[in-house]
Amino acid sequence: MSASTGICESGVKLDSTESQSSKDSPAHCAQKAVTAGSLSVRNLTVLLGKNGRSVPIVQSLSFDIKRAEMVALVGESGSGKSVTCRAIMGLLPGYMQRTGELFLGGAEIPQGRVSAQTAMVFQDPVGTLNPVRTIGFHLKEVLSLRRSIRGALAYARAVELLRQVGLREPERAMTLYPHQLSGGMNQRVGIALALAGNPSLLLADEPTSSLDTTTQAQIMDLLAKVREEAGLAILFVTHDLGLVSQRADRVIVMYGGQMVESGTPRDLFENPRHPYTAALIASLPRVGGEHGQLRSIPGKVPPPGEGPAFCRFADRCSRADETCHAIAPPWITIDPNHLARCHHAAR
Amino acid sequence: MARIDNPILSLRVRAFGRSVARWDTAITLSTLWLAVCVFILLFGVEFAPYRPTSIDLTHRLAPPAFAGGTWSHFLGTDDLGRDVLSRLIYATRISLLVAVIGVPLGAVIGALIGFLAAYMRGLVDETVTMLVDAQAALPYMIVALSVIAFLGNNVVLLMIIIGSYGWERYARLSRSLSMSLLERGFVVAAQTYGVSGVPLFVRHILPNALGIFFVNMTITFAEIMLLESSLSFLGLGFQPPVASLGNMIGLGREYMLSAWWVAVFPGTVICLTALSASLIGDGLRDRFDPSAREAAR
Repeated sequence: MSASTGICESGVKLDSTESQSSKDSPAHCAQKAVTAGSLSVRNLTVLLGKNGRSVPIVQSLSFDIKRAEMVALVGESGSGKSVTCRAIMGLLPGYMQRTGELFLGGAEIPQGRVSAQTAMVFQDPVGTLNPVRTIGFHLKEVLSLRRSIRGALAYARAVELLRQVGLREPERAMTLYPHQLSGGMNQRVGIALALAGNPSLLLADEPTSSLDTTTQAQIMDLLAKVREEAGLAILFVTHDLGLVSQRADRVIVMYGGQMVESGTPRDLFENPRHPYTAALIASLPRVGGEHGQLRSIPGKVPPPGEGPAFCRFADRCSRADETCHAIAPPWITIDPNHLARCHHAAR
Repeated sequence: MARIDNPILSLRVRAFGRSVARWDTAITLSTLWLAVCVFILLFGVEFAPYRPTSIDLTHRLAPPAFAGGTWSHFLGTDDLGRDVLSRLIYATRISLLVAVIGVPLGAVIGALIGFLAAYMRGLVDETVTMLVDAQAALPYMIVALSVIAFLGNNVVLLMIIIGSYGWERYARLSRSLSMSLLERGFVVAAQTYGVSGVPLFVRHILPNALGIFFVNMTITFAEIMLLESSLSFLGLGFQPPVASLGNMIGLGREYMLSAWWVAVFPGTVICLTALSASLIGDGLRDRFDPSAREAAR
């Protein structure tokens, strides 16, 4: 923790009351981040296993999402993106625990409870709907539980929601079962279900990964539309950097359970400061690029509790030196919205 | 076209077809028999020629009509001259009633216990697993006998004991099904919009596990009938003035060599009913088993 005093080298002041946790918190560097009506994550840590032999899967995550902002969470498989989502949702399995604070619209989300202000859209749209229940059943269930709307009113509201997400013949869709709809249709239903509870935060865990490109674009358009209309804050988990560059307002790059870089897509794509971000971008196939093998990052994400303790990427990093293995990397502010957590980020 | 000409394949297809046809016959007959049983359960009493307790001492141990007896006692009489057919109808009614009430009782208790174990994990799960293992290691008959021996015999207690039969199997089944379903997307999604606890089980998990539960219930049905019969046979089930299939056999045991009909007819009813329920359960399992369904496609 002694190294933490020198973190914000580019001159942003540390908040003294929270300096204890400042080691991992870029939010202290980006001072004016907290806004009303938004999500604030402070030092979110998720531990696997019960006290004693627990292993962190997500370490001291801190970030903010403003109203009507779409933030993308990217990183390899195993970097803790989905666990972060489930932690924010309040749906961690019993063998995981979270520490740290979550605030939504200024109010703290209590531990171990599903947040009523948060909704989630999942990767597998068909699997997310109960195969033996109709679309109408699902919608009416959410309306009844989250909004206490029942009966004819619930039916009318459900039809309206289906129309809102662009389903043709919503009255007919109400009576259909999930397997009778296509993947894209089901994902629209999934979004309708998420909107039914009137949330202020939407977590989208790879909402388009199982869809084809055209449908993908439609679903992203729909998400953008509902974000505008409802002023939703959206946290968007994805592997698809192309999608990120087009759609996200801000990007958070995660590696091995830690946040390593955050900034606008433009910052990250044109000026990646963390070697991991740079490697991710370099491994994208390019249209018109030279033929040959696709570039990849050697090695794989270390499992929780293993691998380097300070910079989690040190083993796979081409620029790593002794410092990386000995001292936790500080958050470097490149500009107020662009932060990277690397000893070498300043160049 | 070439594939249909393949002699081995066509033989296989035909063999498969035959086995399907054979099963269907067995299942149809079983269903018919159970339909007859249900009819007896509901309306049988109307057709009973005598009251089950009316004694006719002049016609003690009369043989059935087709074995030298008279038509007035079609299936003969027992040692007190009671009409076997009438008693059989009443006994079938009692035994079926026990099974019909007992099977869902055990299923509901077991399924809920299993779900709660899977849902709450931790100490609850460990306790339930321990109890299930203990129950599985102990013959249920011995448990039933000792409970009756300690608490005395009455119909309500008997129903509870018989109904609880097989709870540990339901609990184990329900626990493992719930555990895997709790990880499924739609159950997680339902939790994100606020469904939790028992409603989660009833509304989302149970409808997806119902087929498997149903198959298990048909199997338990046969076993519960046998349990009731065994208890009554041993004199710890329904007590004599009431006719049950088990105590009819128990009574007839003494006359097995001289008057076989007293024990053989209730025995046949138990056999046929248990067999029918099991066969239907087997057929249903084939229908519900995804791998078998895949093969049929």
